[in-house]
Amino acid sequence: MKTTKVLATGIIFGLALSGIFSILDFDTIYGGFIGAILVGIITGRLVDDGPIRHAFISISTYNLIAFAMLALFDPNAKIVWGCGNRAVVGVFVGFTIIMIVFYSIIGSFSAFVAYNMRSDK
Amino acid sequence: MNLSETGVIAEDELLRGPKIKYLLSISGIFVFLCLLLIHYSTSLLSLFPFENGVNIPHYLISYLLVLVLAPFVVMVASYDFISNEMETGSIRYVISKIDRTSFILGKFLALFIVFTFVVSVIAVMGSIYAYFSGNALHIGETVLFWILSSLYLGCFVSIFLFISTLSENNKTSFLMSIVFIIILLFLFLQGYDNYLKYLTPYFYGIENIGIFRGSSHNVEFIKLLKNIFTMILYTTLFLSMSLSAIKRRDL
Repeated sequence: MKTTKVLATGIIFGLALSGIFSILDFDTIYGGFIGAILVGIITGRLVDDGPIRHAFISISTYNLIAFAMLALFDPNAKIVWGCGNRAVVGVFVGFTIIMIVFYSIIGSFSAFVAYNMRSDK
Repeated sequence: MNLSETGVIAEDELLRGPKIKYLLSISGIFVFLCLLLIHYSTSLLSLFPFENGVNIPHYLISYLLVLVLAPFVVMVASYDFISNEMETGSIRYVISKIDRTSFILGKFLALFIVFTFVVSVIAVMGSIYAYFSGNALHIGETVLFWILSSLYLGCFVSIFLFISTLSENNKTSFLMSIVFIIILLFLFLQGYDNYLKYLTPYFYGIENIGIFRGSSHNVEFIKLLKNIFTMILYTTLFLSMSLSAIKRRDL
């Protein structure tokens, strides 16, 4: 499959999963972990070459969008933005970046396994 | 699967393999580190709830080092065990003559024997050191240390063999091995208060520390058996995945 299609599939599927987990009130760490693994598997199954790179880009993009939406629209995010303390905002942004990197690493590994376990590679 | 073929592969790796000297030097450094830590362990006394004037048992110090450092030692020793043969193409000469299952099991057996030997050397030398320092010999705990450490290292051997089977070259294998260790550490640290911790061998290893801290009479056998069973299951799962991966590969 073409690179753009693989990336778009990964991002849309990841966002859909994030939405579902958010509606079901799933634990954030569980949800991110399961979402990263599923998107990694899908990317690994679809991509023709470079599964690690594609999975990393897809997962970091959808997580970035999901965390940005959370920061902008979630009522609880006002606690972070409204307190006017740079340290609190810094901790939130730092946590977000670390989680995005870790989920991308987990997803990349699952894409690597899925790609190499394919029988039609 | 053919047991004699598995034995031939393991024997070839152990006696005539090009990597055995490298493996033994890494293991030697690890054993030396363990002995060094046992010798200088008095500075660690404040970390544990032992009574004053009592030395930390050598098997506990060795077990802590096995828990923390041994996964990296196993990684360095085994990341290119199969990927190197794939990169150079020498795997084709072996695979054309023997079954793929026997090949993987032989490689696993060779690494497992090396690390079991390393753990037994640590256990024996620790006991000898403790005896000549005027402490009592704890045979039961030392045997328990040997069994649990071997199983714990077996989990990591199977994990890195699986990654090596999936990789086409050594570079990818090394990178993915590091990535997997980071993932395991992340899952263990982030998931300590939820179910994610059960996915890592670290959890089962660390749970066994409690056994070494108390006396052998207070051992919870159900917990011990559960941990041993899970570690065997973990090893079997990754070995099965390695077999499945190598059977699908076009070599």
